Amino acid sequence: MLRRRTVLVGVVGGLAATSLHLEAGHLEAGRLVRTALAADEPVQGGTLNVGLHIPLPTLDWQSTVGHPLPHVMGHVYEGLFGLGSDLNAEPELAASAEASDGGRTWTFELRPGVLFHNGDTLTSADVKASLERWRTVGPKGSGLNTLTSIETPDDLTVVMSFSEPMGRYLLLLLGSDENKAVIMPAAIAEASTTPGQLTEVVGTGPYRFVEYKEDQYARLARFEDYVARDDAPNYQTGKKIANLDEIIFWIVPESTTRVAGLESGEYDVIAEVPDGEATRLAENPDLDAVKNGPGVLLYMMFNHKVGPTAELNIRKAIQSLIDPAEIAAVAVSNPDFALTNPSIYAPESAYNTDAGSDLYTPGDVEKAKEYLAAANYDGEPITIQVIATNSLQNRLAVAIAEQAKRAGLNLEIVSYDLATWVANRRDPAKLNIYTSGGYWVDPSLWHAEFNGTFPSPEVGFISDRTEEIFARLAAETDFDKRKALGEELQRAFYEQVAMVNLGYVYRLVAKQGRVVDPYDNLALGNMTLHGIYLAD
Amino acid sequence: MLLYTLRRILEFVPTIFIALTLIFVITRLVPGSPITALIGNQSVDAAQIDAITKQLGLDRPILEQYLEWLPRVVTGDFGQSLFFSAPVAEVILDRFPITFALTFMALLVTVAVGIPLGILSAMRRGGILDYFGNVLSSLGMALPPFWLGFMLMLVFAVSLQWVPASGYRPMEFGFWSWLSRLVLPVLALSVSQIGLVVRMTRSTMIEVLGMEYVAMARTKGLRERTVILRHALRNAMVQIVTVIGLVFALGLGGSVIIENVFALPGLGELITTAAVRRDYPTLEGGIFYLTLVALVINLMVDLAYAWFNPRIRYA
Repeated sequence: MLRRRTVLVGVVGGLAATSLHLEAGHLEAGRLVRTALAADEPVQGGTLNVGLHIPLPTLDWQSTVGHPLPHVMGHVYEGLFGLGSDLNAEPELAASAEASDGGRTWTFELRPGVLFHNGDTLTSADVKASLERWRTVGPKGSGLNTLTSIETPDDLTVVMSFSEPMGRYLLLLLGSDENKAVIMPAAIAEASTTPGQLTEVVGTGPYRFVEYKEDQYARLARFEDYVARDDAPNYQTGKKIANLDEIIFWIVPESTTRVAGLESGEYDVIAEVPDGEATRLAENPDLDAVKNGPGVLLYMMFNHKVGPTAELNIRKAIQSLIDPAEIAAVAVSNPDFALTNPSIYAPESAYNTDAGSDLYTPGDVEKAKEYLAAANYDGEPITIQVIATNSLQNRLAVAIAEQAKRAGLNLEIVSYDLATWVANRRDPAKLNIYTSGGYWVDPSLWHAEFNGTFPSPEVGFISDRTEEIFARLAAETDFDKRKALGEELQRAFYEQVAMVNLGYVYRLVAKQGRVVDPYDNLALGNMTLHGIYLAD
Repeated sequence: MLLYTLRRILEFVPTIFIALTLIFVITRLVPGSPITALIGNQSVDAAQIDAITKQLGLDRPILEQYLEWLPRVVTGDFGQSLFFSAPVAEVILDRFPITFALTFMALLVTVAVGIPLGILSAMRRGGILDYFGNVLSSLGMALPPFWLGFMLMLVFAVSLQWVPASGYRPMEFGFWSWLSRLVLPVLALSVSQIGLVVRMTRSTMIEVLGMEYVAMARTKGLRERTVILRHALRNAMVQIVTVIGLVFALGLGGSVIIENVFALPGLGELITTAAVRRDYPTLEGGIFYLTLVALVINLMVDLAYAWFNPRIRYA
């Protein structure tokens, strides 16, 4: 799953990290295969102190794609489905899910006896109320726009009816931890009508929410009555084991401070570590540096409606002149943490493909000049906007501007604070180009970037051809057919230059050696601490 | 004296009015708006943006917003924080103790080290102590506090592991847990302040020690300690107190950087975050609070003049 558009916006120290797998996993035909390490008997108890890079913008995970909600709330809440270690949807609160009527009806059976943190038993009424709320307040909730009804024939059955066929993508939509369709008690869901504001934080996860002290810490405690699945642990799904008494997520925006806190023993795990620290941390016998994937696609986004970048030949020129190998050299300080790959699907995704890569040659300055001539480009300045405090964006912009110069393209870097950058990104009069990053493991997850709504309807990309591909993708269940559609989408991406692929980077997580992660969860996606224990 | 105090307090009125106006205008002049920060990365259409704009009252002319805002804030009501779901006063009162503890403890260290070192430097001009004081003050003023903060962290937290590297723990986590996390930030903040106080104390003391009444006191056979502490220092304190007041106000400003380096959720950090998020009510409330504290400190400094030098009369 997953697209994390917030990566470049929120991270203070920039991105880091490279190839996903560790000793416990390997890559097979583009898909990540992970195996559990043989573990000693887990130790029960203790407090895990985690250093996070940014504060929680809200406690309402349903209403945001913002980080670091998944890191924290992923332990508190559960959905009908969640992500397995291959980043596909796996059952979580659902015991089963079956499609009928050609995908127009989906029936979910719930696991019996699941308890909320307030002691109530989960019923289908809670699921219905939670999904109704999510489709209203959730940024991803619009994915249910063909939903016609949610029925609850009994306490453990939920039936969703759609006006159009809905493929298995539905499960990924509900289970994506970017903006998960989490389940809460019906009373809370119905009372919390305003996005971002919950009357209470009550889930069914292995840890219960205790408190959040704004900009200081979020504290979770083990939910003693947690009802776990009985299948094998599988990243965010399967049997979830809560070995820790307590998890405290400390907000530590400065990356140097987070690293120092890890080295001095204050933090057991830290997120968003600059990749330049990887070697030094790995040399410390008391610490572990963990590469975290999937690879994050760095991309260049255009104003498709107004100004020079609305002209296809200008975008093609930019696509041709960009050399991702050079970009990788400036994006990371440790080359192990960058990867050039022609696909718009993460290197670890089963959909990863080189389709469409024959449409252009990266770093082809002469071709870029031809496109500029065809566009009658007269040297008009084109701006690339960056967030002043985002070092990665700044480094990328400098490299891109240098490459543009070779082809005679006048690219100017304009620097803003975060709020202005976000505002200008939506403004057709102010936006030409910006860079960001995220990862996509399923073609359908690209829809928001292709349907004209992102970053705003006034500047976003849209085409009849890609809309038609997305419609077929939504209804299609067969993997091979979906993969072919994914390849078609990628060809359209390159033909119409919806964005420019700047290459992939990986992130770095670091931990104390005494923190045992038997299922290698820290190597994958958002922080998932199930099964983790403190060795001493 | 009472009349003078009242007059000074009355002088607050135009100062506060000007400060409030500037705060309001400047926060509104910067590009961006709280709406874009509120909706973040969500795809929201123009109608929804209009609805939020209206809800926050940001669709009205700026003068109208100001005229509604001013009478409210002079009563201390800055409204509801856009991001904290709590009244601004509550958010500020939650953060201010952290900033106050940091700046006040830094001031104590500054005074405890800076004044004695300044006096000794003045008394032993050209000596080792004077040389040491000069080097310390030059270094203190030259080293950027954020760099010094990281260095202190690496030496005392990472290498020696005497104190924690960063973060804040409320008193409920234990007194030592609270204090230990303030040691390095206080040191990082006070080093530059010490430099300023040493320099000012030294130069003032040198000037005062050269005056006739000091020579007279020595001629009368008073002990050197009495001459220094009761005659010279008391007169020099007028200028030193001015610097101390200034140092405290600067410390409040400098705390923004130190709080960020050491992950202290104080007022400085709050204002920085509010500025990034364009959380107007919190930003305005935070800056106003700091302005008010600076004004009160100025008043206290003025009143201290009379204490240290009774010859000063306030007309």
